[in-house]
Amino acid sequence: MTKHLETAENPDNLKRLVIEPLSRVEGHGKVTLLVDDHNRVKQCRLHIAEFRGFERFIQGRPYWEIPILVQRLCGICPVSHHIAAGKAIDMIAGVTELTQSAYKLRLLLHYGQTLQSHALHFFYLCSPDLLFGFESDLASRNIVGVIAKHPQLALQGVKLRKYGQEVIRVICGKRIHGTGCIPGGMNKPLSCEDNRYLLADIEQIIRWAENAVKISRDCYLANEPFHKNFAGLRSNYLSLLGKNGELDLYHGTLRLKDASGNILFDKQNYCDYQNLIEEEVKSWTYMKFPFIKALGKESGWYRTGPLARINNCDYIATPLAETARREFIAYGGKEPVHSTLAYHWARMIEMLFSAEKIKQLLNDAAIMGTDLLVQGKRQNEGIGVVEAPRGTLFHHYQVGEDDLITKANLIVATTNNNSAFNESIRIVASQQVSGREITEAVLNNIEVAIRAYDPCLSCATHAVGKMPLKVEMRHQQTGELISRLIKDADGTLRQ
Amino acid sequence: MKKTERINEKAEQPALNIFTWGNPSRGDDAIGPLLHQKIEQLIAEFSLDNIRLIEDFQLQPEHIFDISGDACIVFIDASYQGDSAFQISQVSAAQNIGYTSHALSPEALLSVYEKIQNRQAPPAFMLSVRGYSFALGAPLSKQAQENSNAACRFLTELLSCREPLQLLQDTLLIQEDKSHA
Repeated sequence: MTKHLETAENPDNLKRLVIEPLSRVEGHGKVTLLVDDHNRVKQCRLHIAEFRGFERFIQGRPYWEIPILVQRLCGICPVSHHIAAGKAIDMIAGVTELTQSAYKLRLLLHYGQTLQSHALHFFYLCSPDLLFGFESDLASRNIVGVIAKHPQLALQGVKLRKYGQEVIRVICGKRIHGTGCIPGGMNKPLSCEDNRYLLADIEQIIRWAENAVKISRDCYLANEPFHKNFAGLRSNYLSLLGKNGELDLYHGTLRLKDASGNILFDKQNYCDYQNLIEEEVKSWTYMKFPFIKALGKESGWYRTGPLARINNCDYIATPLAETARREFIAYGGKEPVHSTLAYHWARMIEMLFSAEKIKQLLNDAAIMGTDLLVQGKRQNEGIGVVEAPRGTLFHHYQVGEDDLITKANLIVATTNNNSAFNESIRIVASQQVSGREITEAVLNNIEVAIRAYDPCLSCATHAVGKMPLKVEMRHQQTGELISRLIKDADGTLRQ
Repeated sequence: MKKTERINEKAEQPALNIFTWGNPSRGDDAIGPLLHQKIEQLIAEFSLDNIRLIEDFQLQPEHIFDISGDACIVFIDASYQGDSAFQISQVSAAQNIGYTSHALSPEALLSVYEKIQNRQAPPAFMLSVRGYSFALGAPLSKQAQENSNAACRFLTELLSCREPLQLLQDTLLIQEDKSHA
């Protein structure tokens, strides 16, 4: 649709605009636009300039370290990586089924993580746009502005996030980068005291989550014609589903639906992901472009995350979220809901689902058990896939006889949506930016499109602060230094 | 600080909320985590129930719930500026925010606290310990270690005294006098 905006025909004659860093998203990214003398957009790209290298440097580490190491990918969604890696390491340990207590502790951890992540995104990151307007005053268009104008709403958002973090803390010992998943199970049980502590507030959390669904829905419908078409695009949708087609964020099989709602494949074992998905590389970004092999590069790109999951699932097994889902699906009519801004609405339905699941789990006697470990016959390969807050997350490891990792492949959740990001921002660039006077407010429209996906562009590694940086160019064969540029801690550049 | 004295006095001690942050893998940015460990040891050794100690990667809005309304707050971090081993400065609520809300400043956190809790933030201070080198993978520098030791001696006195707010204010005054001299 917007392919012509990926690469300008005559870039030399065009003016270059850069949005960097993208604000109110997780991680570091930039958007470049090439515009002509009349500010008409001729090229628009989302660039991920950070190279993490995790797949390379965890090679040679013992496999049982991996669930701890990979959490360092992210400061916002480390639990997703911890659990996906945990599932992969279960396979390596030869474990195909956890004890009920260990399984339910992992579910509790995962839904606590989803609750806090979705709360963070909606209340802290995107509510300023939805409440004040995409081109409203920059000074107020942030969480502090929301707190000033809507203190009660802000209070609910902050408490929702904190509650999710407390779920993580009681299971993992810390809010960020704790420990929990071990090969074949979990490393400690849930105490009665912690169970009571979490149960004390869960009814209030559910009510606030319900309110958040209402707010996100009302914000969207308040300007429905504009919001429906803003960055709107038809796409395929990929997600895990439970064995009966229900929404399940921890485990399941893969389903792909097309833009008309037809199921293209269903109940696919995620261990076969390499036969289903291929990743294209482009020269201008470190983030790859996954696509469904059978459909090819042009037609095989897809979306994942809340919009995909709510579109894909047949039902949600908790009552309040199921009611919200039906309303959402009814809005779409006979087709999936395609509107990019409907991601926010779907995300809040998932947050409500997570809150209801947490209540169910805390009231389940099995979660209090102390039988947390299963042993099996050691294997040389493990694949773990979960539905992270941002989309389907793949962790794949191979291990040598010495128990050290020999190969790792990760498809981080956000990567799945890379084609969709670029399509979305090109649509917005052509509809909202092209031909207008270029201001920060106008460019925020592009950020709004990206923000809807809740991307974790390099899994929450901002270049904030005074980190010194050294960049060296070396000869590929000899390693000889060709040139060097150093930025000192005080920001001074030197060679 | 004698253990027996501390146990007898602890019920009367005013609350202290202490926030530390820093990256232990970035040279002297490890000062915050180092002092966090020292404070933890002091709390455990002397059963200091009045101290709430929080460590995180950055300050975020939800940290307002870690603030006790009747507490005195101390933020601890490494600093690349300053002539002395450490400095105390007063922190007031201010609605300042950079391009990201991922890492709130202490001032912004207090502002969030006031807006959401609908009350004035308690007295707050920044303890900035001088660091020199923040390179990735570098160890703590010798001078930063000495500065941390000096800060630790101050913190030991702060945690044991009956009026930590008075001590902080007095230290602030002494600093100001020195800078004017």
